[in-house]
Amino acid sequence: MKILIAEDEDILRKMMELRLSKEGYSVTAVSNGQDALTHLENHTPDLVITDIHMPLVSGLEVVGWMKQQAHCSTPVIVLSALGQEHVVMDAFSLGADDYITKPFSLNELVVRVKKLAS
Amino acid sequence: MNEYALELHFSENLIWVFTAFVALVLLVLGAGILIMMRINRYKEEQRRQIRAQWKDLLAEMLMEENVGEQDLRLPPEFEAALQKPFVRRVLASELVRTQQSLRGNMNETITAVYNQLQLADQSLALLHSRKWHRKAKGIQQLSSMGQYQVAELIVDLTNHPNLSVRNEAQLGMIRLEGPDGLRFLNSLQHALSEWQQFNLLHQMQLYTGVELPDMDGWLLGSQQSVVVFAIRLCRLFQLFGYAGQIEGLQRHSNTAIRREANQCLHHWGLTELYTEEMLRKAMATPLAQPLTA
Repeated sequence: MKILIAEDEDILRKMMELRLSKEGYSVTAVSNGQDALTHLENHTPDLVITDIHMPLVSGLEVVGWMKQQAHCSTPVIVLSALGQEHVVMDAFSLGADDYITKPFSLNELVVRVKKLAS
Repeated sequence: MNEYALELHFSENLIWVFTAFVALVLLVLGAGILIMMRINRYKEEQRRQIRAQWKDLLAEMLMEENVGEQDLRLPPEFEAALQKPFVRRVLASELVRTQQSLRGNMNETITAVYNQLQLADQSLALLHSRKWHRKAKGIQQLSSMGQYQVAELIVDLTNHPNLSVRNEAQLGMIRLEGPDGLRFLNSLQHALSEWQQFNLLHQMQLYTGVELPDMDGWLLGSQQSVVVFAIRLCRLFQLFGYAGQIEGLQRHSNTAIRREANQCLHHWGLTELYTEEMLRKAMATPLAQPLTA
């Protein structure tokens, strides 16, 4: 199963990549929304995990773009900071499938990914 | 006629000198801004490079089991880079940033790596900085990384003249000591703003179920914002044992305290929500006599 991670925090992104790779997923990680869109133009991941606040192109824009394209059925998990519940609602209205609030545990991320993967 | 020509010539010269002076000032100012922008861009690029160089190593260290139990061995090039204060500053910031995004055991692991890299001295240097934003950052880093030995330094900063430093120090005390960190309220010299109270209550939410220090001193104290904050704490932690004291605070001379006390008791279902007019009248009601709408 192929997963795309879009997260601008370098260490966190790498940790998510390592953790999910350890679970047997094929992971591609990018640091901003623009790179996520570029990747999505050429690849079709089975799941996308995107932070909401990212430079260049936000996670909301990534979700919105995906759901209008050929990726409309690809499940999306959005990562949001505590207190951004209103933004999460926007993400759901754009078509996001699940959300995780920061701070989160990597185990929680794995559980959510497995749930959507199944 | 000659005098007039001389005067005109002098005025023209004066205008030229003034124009040249303004142009020079603008030029220096512009150059200064450009240089600052260049420096900032250079520093940002440096930060980006450091983050890119270290992210794999740090992430792998954090994902390892038994972090902190064995001696840290870094590749030689990283060991050398770690001696540079700027690198240490970036690493400390990055670890704190990562810690804010993760919870559970990972927080302890991040603290262990921070300690192994001996980054506390860098954070301490920030805390001693004269610049308020660096001081606030130092407090945030040290308290997030559980550096308990600096608690007394941080408690002193809870009365710092700068609001951001005070705010960070107050939050830092709770991060370090949990509810016991609220001891800074005993010697608070500046009123707690609504924003500060919001942040403190938000931080305190992590400790629901933990026993709180005795609230009497704060509820019956003279600092209005502390009394309001104490009432809000009682409400948040459902400290019904203080209902009697809060009932008395409905008769307080301060409007904000009366209002907060009434709202707390109403939230607990112990009283009605009174109008300000009713609460003002209540000030004259003896304590023994219950308030009525």
